[in-house]
Formats: sequence, C-alpha cells, structure tokens
Amino acid sequence: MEEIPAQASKGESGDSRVASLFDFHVSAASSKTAEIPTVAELIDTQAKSACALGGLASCSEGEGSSTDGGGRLRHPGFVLFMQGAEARLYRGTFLGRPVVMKERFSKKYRHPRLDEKLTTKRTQGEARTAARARKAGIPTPCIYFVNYQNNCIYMEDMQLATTSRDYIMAVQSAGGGDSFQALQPIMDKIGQILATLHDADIIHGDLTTSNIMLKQDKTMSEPEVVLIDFGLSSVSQLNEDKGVDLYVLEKAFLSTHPNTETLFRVILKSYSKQSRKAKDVIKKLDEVRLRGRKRTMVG
Amino acid sequence: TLDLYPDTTVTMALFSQVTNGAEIRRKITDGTIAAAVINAQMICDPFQVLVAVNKAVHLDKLDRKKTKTVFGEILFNLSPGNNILAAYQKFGVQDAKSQDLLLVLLNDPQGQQLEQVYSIIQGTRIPLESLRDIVDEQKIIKLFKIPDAERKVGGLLDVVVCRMATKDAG
Repeated sequence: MEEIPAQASKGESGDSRVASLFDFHVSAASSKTAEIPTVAELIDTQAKSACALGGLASCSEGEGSSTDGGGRLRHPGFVLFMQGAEARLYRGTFLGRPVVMKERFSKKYRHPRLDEKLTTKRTQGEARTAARARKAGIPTPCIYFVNYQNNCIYMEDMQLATTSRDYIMAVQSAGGGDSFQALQPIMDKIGQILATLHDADIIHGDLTTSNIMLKQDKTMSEPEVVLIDFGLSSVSQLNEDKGVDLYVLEKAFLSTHPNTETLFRVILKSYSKQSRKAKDVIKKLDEVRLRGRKRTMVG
Repeated sequence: TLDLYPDTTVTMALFSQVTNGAEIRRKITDGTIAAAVINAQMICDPFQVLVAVNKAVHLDKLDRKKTKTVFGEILFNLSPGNNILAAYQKFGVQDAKSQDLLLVLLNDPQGQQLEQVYSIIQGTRIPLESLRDIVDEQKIIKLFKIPDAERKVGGLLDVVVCRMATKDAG
C-alpha cells in the first residue's frame, strides 16, 4: 500500500480525499490555527480565565469559602483554591499585598501531641529551607509571615506565573514539531536551577513539574524558573540523595508528559554544565534508575 | 492602616532631622512614649515595618513575646539576630545629633497619641514616601549579610522581609 503523507507541511490540509480518512492527522498538522504559546501568553490566558471564574465565585460565595463547621469564617478574606494531602492553599491579601496562604492541617488519626509536633516541624522546615534556598539564589516565593499556632505560611502570590506542567502541556498540544525548540530553553533553565540547588546541598524532595513554576512579567525578556513547595525538603551533601531527587523528577516528568525523554535530557545536560559535582550525581542517578524506586541504600 | 488582626490599627509617621534623640530614648524607657521609634536609615519600605508589627502583635496576643513590650518586639523583629539589646541599638534611637526617625503607633485611629508624641519630638514631619531617600541600603546589606545571589531573587525589601519572617524557623 502506498504511504500517504498525511503529515503534510503545517497549514496545508492536503488532499481532500485524504483529509476525510485522516481527519485527526490533518487537524494536528494544521497547527497554524494553534500556535505555540510563549510563557507570557499562557500566563495571560490563565489569568483571564481565573478572573472569569473568580467573578462567579465571589458572587455566589461572598467573602470567602473557608468556613468551618460552625459557619464562622476560619480565614476571613481568604479564598480556598487548592487542597492537597498535607495542606490547604488560600489566596488573599496581607498587609496590602496579594498572598498565598498555606495551611497545614492536623491529621485526626494521629496522636494529638505527635501530630502537633509533626505539623509544626514540617512548617518550620519549609520556612527554613525556603530561606536557605533564597540565600543560595534560588527563586522562590518570599515568605511574609509564619504563624506557628495554626501552621500557616503567608507567602508572596506570584500572580504572573504558571506551572511548568501547564506550560509543557500547552506547548505540546499546540505545537507539533516545534514544541521541542520552544521548550528547550525552559528545560535548560530548569537544569541550571536544580544544579544551583544541589550545589547548595539542598534536596527538594518533591520535584515535579507542578512544583517548578515559570514566571514572566512585562519587564522580563525571558521566563524565570521558580521553585515552590519545600515541604519535603532536606539538607544533604550526599550525591545519592541528589541523584534520587533527580530521579523523582524524571519519573514525574515522564509520567505526566509522554514522549519527553529528549526534553529531560536537556535538563540533565544543563545541570551537568552548571554544577561542579554533577558527574557523581548523574552516576548515582544511573545507579538509582537500575535499582528501580526511590531508595537510599545507606548503612 | 489595618491588620490581619482587624481590631488593631497601625499608624506610621516619619520625622526628619530629630535633635533630641537622648530625651526620646529616656521617655521610651520610662513609658511616656508608647511607640516604636525606629532608625529610619534601616527601613527600605513601610511594608518592612508592617511585617514586623504584624509578627509583634501576633506574639503579643499569644503572650509569647521575646521582649517586654510590643514596641520593643517590633524593633526586635526588624533585626536579623536574636540579641535584643543589639536590635535596640541598631534599629532604635541612635546617638546622633540629628537623625531621621520612623514612629509607629498602635490603636490610635483618632491620632491622639500621635499628637502627644508630636509635641515631644524635635524634628520635622515628612511624608512616608521620603523613606526611599533616607534608607542606607549598604548598611542593611552589611548587617543582614545578604549575598548578591539572594538579592537577585527579588529586591532588597523582599530579602529583608523573608529573613524577618523565617528568623525563628532556624
């Protein structure tokens, strides 16, 4: 059978007879209609849709949806926008600035004293590591206030930012052949930031594309990589731990974004270029890959 | 200006070329002046002060202050270290013939306390915006030991505020 080149050059829908049979190929090929967005454009789109939703939300819920059982507002003026396994995220204003408030809640199944100690320790650790990361030059949201009574961290709300997860997905769905070129500089930057992080002996602990954000405002010619969520982070000089950190990212990366092995390699390449100790870390990464799961075989 | 604790109001006033520093310091110690009097050179933005005030009021309500008064606590919060005396020395009233001081009052919506202090301070009141011209950035960088890398993450104000917020996290 003759091979019909359904993947015609971009913009051309090819032969109409072919089109009816290979409709889906055609729509992918005619990516002229969906161009690869820049980071700034994606941030803009997300902001606009958030505004639209926010408008509806404020109509129906009034001041904030963070009520507890008694009907009192637990956090007046703050709106819940995400709930994870460990914490809830709210948006609001603090001393005139837009903030994100991360509230670690207690787990009722734990013994109360242990629970208290654990949550406080996690909150403290997160604040401490975020400060340490900043000292090393890692962009991360500025912390404004930590309330150790209810384990809430009030931090800078990066309004003009998107997760790298969202961006990679957006580019891949729009892109076609060019997506690699569009994403490569971003991957390069991510590699550099991770190298700086590990050179400062900081292990993030939960590297996923949702925890690596991209920030770009009108004053910036290129997007900036920002790391968030240091809740599971630690300090370690061991190449083993750094290798595991990278492995966790690799796993998360490849499972969330299919067919991105080449992109991840860009991250590793730029990591090797930037970090002085990269060779040993990458060696450990290879070892960890062979072992299979995130395990530190110490002792 | 209001707070995360809506029943507390914060008033800030900036005074330039204050000559009676010693007298003011005495009046603070004996309680005549119930305010935080801050060395304006160390403040790059009113937000920096607000963050310190917020933490001070928070700890005051929990009765977990490190210092004796909420005003002392404000000064302590502004400082990078854990030494209270050093905080007062660096961020409080200086031993200078003429200095710029930032005054912080709490719960004075009508301005009565402000008027009281006004009469004591021998200096000219200037708008808060002038803080930008008074601040001594190099002094702040030196005291907080801010590396260049950190400054690039987000201006001086962000660095200082983050340091203040995470000081007791270890």
